[in-house]
Amino acid sequence: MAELNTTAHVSGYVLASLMFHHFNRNSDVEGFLVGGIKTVAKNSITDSQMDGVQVEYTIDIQKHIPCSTVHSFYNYVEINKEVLKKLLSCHKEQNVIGWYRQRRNTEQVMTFRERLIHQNLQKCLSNQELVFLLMTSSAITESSSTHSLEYAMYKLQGSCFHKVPVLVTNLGIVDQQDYHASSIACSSVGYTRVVKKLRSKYFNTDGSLKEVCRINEMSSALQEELKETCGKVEESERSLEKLLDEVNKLRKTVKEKKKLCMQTLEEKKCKKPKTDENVLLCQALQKLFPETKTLQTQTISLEGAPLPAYTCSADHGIDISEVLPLLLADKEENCESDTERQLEQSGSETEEDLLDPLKIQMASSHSPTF
Amino acid sequence: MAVNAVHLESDAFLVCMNHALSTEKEEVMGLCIGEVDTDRIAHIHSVIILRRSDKRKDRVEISPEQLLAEMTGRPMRVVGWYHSHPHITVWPSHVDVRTQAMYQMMDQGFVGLIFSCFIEDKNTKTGRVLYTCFQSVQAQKGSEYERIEIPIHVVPHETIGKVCLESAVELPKILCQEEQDAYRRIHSLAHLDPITKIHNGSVFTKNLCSQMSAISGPLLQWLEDKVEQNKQNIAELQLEKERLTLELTDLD
Repeated sequence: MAELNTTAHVSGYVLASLMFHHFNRNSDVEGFLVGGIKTVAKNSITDSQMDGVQVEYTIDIQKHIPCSTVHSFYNYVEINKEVLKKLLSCHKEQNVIGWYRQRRNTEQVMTFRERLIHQNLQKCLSNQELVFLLMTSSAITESSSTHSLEYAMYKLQGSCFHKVPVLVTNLGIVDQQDYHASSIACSSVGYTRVVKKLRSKYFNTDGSLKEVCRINEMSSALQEELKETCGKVEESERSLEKLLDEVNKLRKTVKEKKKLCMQTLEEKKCKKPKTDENVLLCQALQKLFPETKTLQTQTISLEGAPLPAYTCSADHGIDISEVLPLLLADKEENCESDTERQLEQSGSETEEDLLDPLKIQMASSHSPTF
Repeated sequence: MAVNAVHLESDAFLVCMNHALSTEKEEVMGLCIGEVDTDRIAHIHSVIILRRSDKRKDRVEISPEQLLAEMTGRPMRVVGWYHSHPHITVWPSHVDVRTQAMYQMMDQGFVGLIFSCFIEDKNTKTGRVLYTCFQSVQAQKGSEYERIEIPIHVVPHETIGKVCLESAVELPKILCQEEQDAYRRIHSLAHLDPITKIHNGSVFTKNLCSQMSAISGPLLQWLEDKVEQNKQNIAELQLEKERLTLELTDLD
């Protein structure tokens, strides 16, 4: 009977890089995991069974592809295949082994949306072994002196998500055997003769070991390679830094200019056309009909009746006798006019009583009603 | 306390985490470089990986003399130290608190950071990394010291600084030097027979191979991926720069 053990391996460099990417964003981050899958079957013979098979299924995460923004490759839960294709264009589909999400101050549990996205991604990438890495971070003390970063890997098996243990590969995993500081005591003549005969295959004339020299060469060459690649990274980081600075300044300038344009547009919209008062007419009406407030108002009610309460009583400084002499001359002639007397009479009627006749007159008004 | 808070730049955090996650068998340590501002906030811009004077698995510290030499021998200011707690709690031990107190005698603004890693809950199959920041004060009773919490915030730093990059690639060199020193000490023992010497040579070869496969290889891969990623980001940013410049011209 085969026993299946699944583990995920990730190097400290990849894990730290994931954390670094999240620290530089103030929102959740997402991306894809690239790597490979290794399956090793081991036969084990025990007292209880002759044909025990242990299958070691190792998911090896070698790098991550961060998405520039969150929700970039899906619309709610539907995968945007074009965006996905563009994101993964530099990698073979079979090397994409999973995706990841990093969140702050949330539980280490897959959300319903994440589950659906995962299922849809599996169909899109035709990979039933797709994994999901969830990383969550939070402060665990009130003073924010201590923080925790949790990580767990999920895999869909049937209709349920199961957790896969994640192993961070490091130097300490491999057994570091100790050096021996004392000699092996052996007085055999034959033993000494064989060792002496083959000694030159292992030792240089100066007593150093040939394999030690070879491995030192390998190690130095690797360090040179590291130094050179580090130089390339340093150069590209500085270029990126300079460009980011320029783009951030441009973004800020464009944003400010857009804000200014919007403000100017708003101001223009808000400015209502000022209804200039016809001051000449107002002054003339004040002069001709001083007691008739209904003629001195520009404001009418919803029913269309003039409102005396909004009378303009301001002196506009216009001398009507000079500007409209004929108008005043006409008034003097008709100073006993019936119309003015009727309007002058003030009784005990209320404003509404006075306005009622006007309302009846305006009953046939064509003003829209709501 | 002499420090109100610590702001650790994300690229410095990256190097600390790389270092802490390099081995689960022993504690590692390094120094924090930066400055303390007028608000008594310690800003850590980069870190330096150190070789240890005490190589016991559960003890990590460097002597005050070594620390002073590091502090005075560098143009940047050392504002603190960090070390790792593999498989153990993030809280500083009584030795850590005493060591911190000793460093604070030289500089009262000196801070201590601890990274706890390789913590795994077998039941929930969840891995965890924790980090904390502390200083030491004299305990109210007795002559012992006790820990005080210092708030720590990792602040964004989009790109990786030069000093951080150089520190990151220093690790394989340091590990190799430590191994070469250990081998040299053993190989210099004149009384060893050839078979034992060959055995020790194999141990050295095996250890160096472990370093190359577990540290140098993944580090080199990460650096190469970073170059590729930066190329893509630069290309995208270049397009955005052109678009924004056009937009700005239209707005003008």
